[in-house]
Amino acid sequence: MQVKQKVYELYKGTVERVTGPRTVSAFLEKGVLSVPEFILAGDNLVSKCPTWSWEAGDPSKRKPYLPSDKQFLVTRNVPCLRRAVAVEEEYDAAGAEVVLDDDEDGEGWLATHGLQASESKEEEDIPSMDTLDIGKVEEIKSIPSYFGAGEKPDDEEDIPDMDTYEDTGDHSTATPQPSYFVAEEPDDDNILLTRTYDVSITYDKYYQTPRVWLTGYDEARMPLKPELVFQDISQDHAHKTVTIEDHPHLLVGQHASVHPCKHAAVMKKIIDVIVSQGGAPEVDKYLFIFLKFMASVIPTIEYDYTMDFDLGSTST
Amino acid sequence: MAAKAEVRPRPLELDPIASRVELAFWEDLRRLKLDVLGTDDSPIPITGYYTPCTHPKMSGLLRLGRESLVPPSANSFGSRNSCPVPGTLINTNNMRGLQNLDVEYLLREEAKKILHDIMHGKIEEDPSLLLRFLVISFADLKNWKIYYSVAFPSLVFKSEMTLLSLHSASLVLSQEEAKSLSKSLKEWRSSNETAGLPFFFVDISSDSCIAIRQLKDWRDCQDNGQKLLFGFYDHGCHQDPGWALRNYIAFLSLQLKIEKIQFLCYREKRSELDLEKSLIGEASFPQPHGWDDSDYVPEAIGWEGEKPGDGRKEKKLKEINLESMSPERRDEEQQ
Repeated sequence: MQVKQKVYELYKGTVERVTGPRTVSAFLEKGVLSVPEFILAGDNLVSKCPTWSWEAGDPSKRKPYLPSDKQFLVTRNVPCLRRAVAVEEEYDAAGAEVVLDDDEDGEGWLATHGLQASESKEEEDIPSMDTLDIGKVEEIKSIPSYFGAGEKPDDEEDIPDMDTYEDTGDHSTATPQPSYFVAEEPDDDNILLTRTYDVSITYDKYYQTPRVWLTGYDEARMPLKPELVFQDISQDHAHKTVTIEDHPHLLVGQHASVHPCKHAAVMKKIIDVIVSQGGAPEVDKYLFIFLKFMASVIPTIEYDYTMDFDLGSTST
Repeated sequence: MAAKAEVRPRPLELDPIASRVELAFWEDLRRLKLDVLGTDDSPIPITGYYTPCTHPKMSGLLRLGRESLVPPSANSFGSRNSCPVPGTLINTNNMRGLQNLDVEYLLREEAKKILHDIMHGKIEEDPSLLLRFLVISFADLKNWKIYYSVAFPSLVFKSEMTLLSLHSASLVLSQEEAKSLSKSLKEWRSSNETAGLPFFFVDISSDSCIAIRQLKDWRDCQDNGQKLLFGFYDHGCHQDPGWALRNYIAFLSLQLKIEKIQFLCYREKRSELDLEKSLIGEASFPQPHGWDDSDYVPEAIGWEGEKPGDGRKEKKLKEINLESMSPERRDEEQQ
């Protein structure tokens, strides 16, 4: 498997070197992005959702076909309140019939609407697509419910247990008045010790699509082992479409990435649906659509992609 | 959630900043130590990146990353999501060296730099100096381990700072003021010139018109009869104002000779002012005496994860395992 992957990466690298970047738009026909379209869509994302920024990355990994200060997009310190694994287990236990994803034909992105609809009838603390909307804070769970019975992931080792919780509690307080520790604590139910992610989007020249990368941090803000990232990925994707690899613009650390081999096909499907509903998808909104699609792969990571506009229609 | 209404004056309590150090920072330090530093353990100027709270239930933090070891003179990295803040790294050569550091002395020395910058008018030019931080570490390169601790030195007044009131901004501002404030701060946060400045004045005129001004423009907006809010990027999402407020008050007290302020803890939601989470409060603080003496060393607190009064002999250290970066380990993984 590893060798196969290496050989494949080598092949892909060679193809990328000998072929020029796409310059003609095939957004509507193939669901892919040219380099200028990626920049355009990225600029739009940064302007509408400024928690995202362009970054230059490591100079030694600079891609010549991208502007030096716009090599990739990043949003940092994004909360991930619950493990996707746990969410799905609960969901299965509740006898749900909607499958979160089906990456064969891209229905996964659409299926999440079904998930959302049925979830609202379930317990309210199952994160739905709504919780991805960063504005809806009510649904975000604080620590006490995070540690509530029946919500723990299987793997004992990875559970931040009460000891760690108390420990980090100590870490986060340093004021001159010791009374602080009792005075405000019970009221302050929004103390959030949770995993966080840095989410980055790079341009994959081979597949001519954006590609998402995840760098995780645990509840104590220490780097998360890449393997543990799989707990935050829809289990239909973990170890299949999501792999641990070197980041194309960063030198250090292994990062989880959603493999882009089916991105164009899924994006094409979504674009077709928008068109069939009378919309006219605009290429500068590609990343908004793309990030909504990514939410089916990483359902519990709450990055911002404001979706309060009609996809594709003229109004923004 | 709106902050609890406060009526009774009480001592001002603050929410400490947390640090997050990325692997890239340690990898850069490892290379620097091997290729350049050798056994030289003199302090190294570094850069941290600070952000206001951007999510209603998630505090912001001070981040050390790939750009942090680039010498400040050559470091141009920074954005609204990464406000550059100066810091000092003391990397010792062994565990004993790290444990033997006089951490209290080091903290006070950093606090003295902050005091010096306040007294010499440097804060007006570069407000981020109020957020100066300190990192002590030992990089055990043989075993691919790093031990470290971070401090955010905060000046301690001998007499207490008193919190007179504290409310969610949505409860204090009129609708017009709120609208105008959101608009002005959006402009402040979108401009390359000001987005990285974590401290500012909010100038509210009698017709609810709001202007955000830089600290260096203080002289211009004095005594115009308008209402002034002293604003800062608050990293925290909790009910108490963030850590940055104490050094800010020290600056206002010592340099601008103010004894009572209304302050604004700026917090964001979806990259805009979060009126519910942002706080407006009032604090009073008697002028400290003797601080203008150039030899004066102020009291300071601020070691991350430490309560004041904790035994300081055994420093609580964070440990990072870099083994995943060792060539042997990577070869193994690839087989």
